[in-house]
Amino acid sequence: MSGAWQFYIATLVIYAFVYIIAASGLNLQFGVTGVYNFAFIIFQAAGAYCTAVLTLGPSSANGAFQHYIVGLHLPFPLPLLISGVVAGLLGVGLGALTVRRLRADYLAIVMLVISLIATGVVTDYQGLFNGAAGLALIPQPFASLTSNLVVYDWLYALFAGIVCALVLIAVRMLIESPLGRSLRAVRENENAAAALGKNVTALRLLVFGIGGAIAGISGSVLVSFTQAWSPESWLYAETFVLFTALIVGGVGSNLGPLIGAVLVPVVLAEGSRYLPQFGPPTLVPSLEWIAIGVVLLAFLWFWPRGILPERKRTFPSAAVSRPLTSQTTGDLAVKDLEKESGPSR
Amino acid sequence: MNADRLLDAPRAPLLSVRGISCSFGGVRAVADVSFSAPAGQITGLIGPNGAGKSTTLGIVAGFIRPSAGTIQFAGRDITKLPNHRRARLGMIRTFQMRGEFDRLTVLENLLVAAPGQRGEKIRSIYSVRRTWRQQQRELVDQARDLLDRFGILDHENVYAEELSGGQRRLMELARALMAKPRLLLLDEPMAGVSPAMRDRLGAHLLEVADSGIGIVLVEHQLRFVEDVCGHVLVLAQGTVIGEGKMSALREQAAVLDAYLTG
Repeated sequence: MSGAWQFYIATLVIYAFVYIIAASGLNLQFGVTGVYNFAFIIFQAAGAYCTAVLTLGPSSANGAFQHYIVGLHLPFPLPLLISGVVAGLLGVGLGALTVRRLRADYLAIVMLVISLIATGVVTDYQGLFNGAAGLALIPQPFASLTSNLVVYDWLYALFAGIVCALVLIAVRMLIESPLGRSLRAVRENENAAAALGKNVTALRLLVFGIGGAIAGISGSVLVSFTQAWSPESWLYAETFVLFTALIVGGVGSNLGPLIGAVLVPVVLAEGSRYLPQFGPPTLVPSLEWIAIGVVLLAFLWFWPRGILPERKRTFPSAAVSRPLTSQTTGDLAVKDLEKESGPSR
Repeated sequence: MNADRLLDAPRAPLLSVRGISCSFGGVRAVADVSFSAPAGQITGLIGPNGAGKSTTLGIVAGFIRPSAGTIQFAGRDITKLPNHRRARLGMIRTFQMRGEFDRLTVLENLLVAAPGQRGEKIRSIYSVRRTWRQQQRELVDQARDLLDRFGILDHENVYAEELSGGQRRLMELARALMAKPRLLLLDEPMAGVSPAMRDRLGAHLLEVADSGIGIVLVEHQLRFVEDVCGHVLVLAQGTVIGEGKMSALREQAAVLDAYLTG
């Protein structure tokens, strides 16, 4: 394979890992907890900008051609970790403003508006992240290891893969725990969850924070590779690409985000590049969005649970079969409960 | 006064509601309602449609904010406590409609209710020794015992949305018991339940009350109320118009009027 092809494939692999990381964060919010965060992409952007300003060095560098805040030169992996924390805190902050009072569709509308406002602020306030032009020349981590660009790309793909695997494992552990079960309970019926002692607001804030942190990590991994980031990179429509990926892959399932993130943003969006050019020059790129919309509608209509639906959780039956006669004995449920609540049976 | 309080404490009712009121857009749904409910007894709230029964239950459980009045539970003022905190004190409510977690299995529905689960803490999810697994095994056993008792153990791996109306009621009651309640607030537990299932559910409720748990229930089926409730309150247009044993209430003119004129 030629170097150009290898470069292209490695880039696609890195993009796939970034999308998988982001989709699994969105899955935790939307798929598992039922929170409609239509501003999801701004948390990826927060992570990306954070990594940029933590690695670029002072704003006066490179002839001061771009203006931005902070301007540090921190070594890897600090920018990655701090980006996750910052995006997570942003999630908790925005969550605290919204989830306490707003439910489902209203939350979705407000988050969409927040996403638009964020784009407007970053675009128009040039001192923040260099406005519409965005930030460039963002340093790559461990660039000193090799001078061969193709080797570096594969190395970076490996790094992105490791981060992706760690995120997937961490999210899976959370989803499969009793806490994950409570999150699904909030998704299914928030009133019933509250009636059983679940602090619904706190649980929603938690997934706003964790999902935000995961999005921030995805942004950090992405921007360290692309070395550039501007408001064009995180338009609100990107959020819907991720929602589509999730719905295609399987909402709430562990591997759904993985399948969806490979199929929708990578195969579908990248596939349009190979369409023959016809009509006006902007037609084919626009068709990409139309295709994503059609796929979204088709899945919602025909396969609402996606390619890999959320699996049913069952529990192994007790090794020794227990006598199933208590219905006739007339014992009191509560007495049994008290008897069984001890540490050992 | 302190001495009096100490003397009174053991005899204090489990739930004591004093003068609660609530309006929705100018309509007084509940006006100055007071009642108390002891442990180990079933208290019924009856009345025609729109009498304020469900609203009263919602206020007690913390789902609706009252404009006036106080609520004491187990000797503690809980008027300002949010709903989930009341649940953690042992006050568990059920719903008139849609109380299930549809896409959770019946067994999972019960597991959600178990209080004090270690696996609900982030720290223990990511610790090396995941100590919550052992606890979860014990909770699964407890949940299966309850499902067995209510005759729906065969359905443990069925999504709650696939249950029949009567099975949902049984599951909701089993789930409420899984939460180790001191007081159950049941909103029309007999709605959508077949006559055969009604007797079974009634027997279960009496068993639960005998074990020392207080129950307050809203119900339309007066025969059922007469069978299981030791004490009954009649609400009409947001106020209590009668109180006592069901057999005695049947004789009262005001109660009859309320039902006949609705």
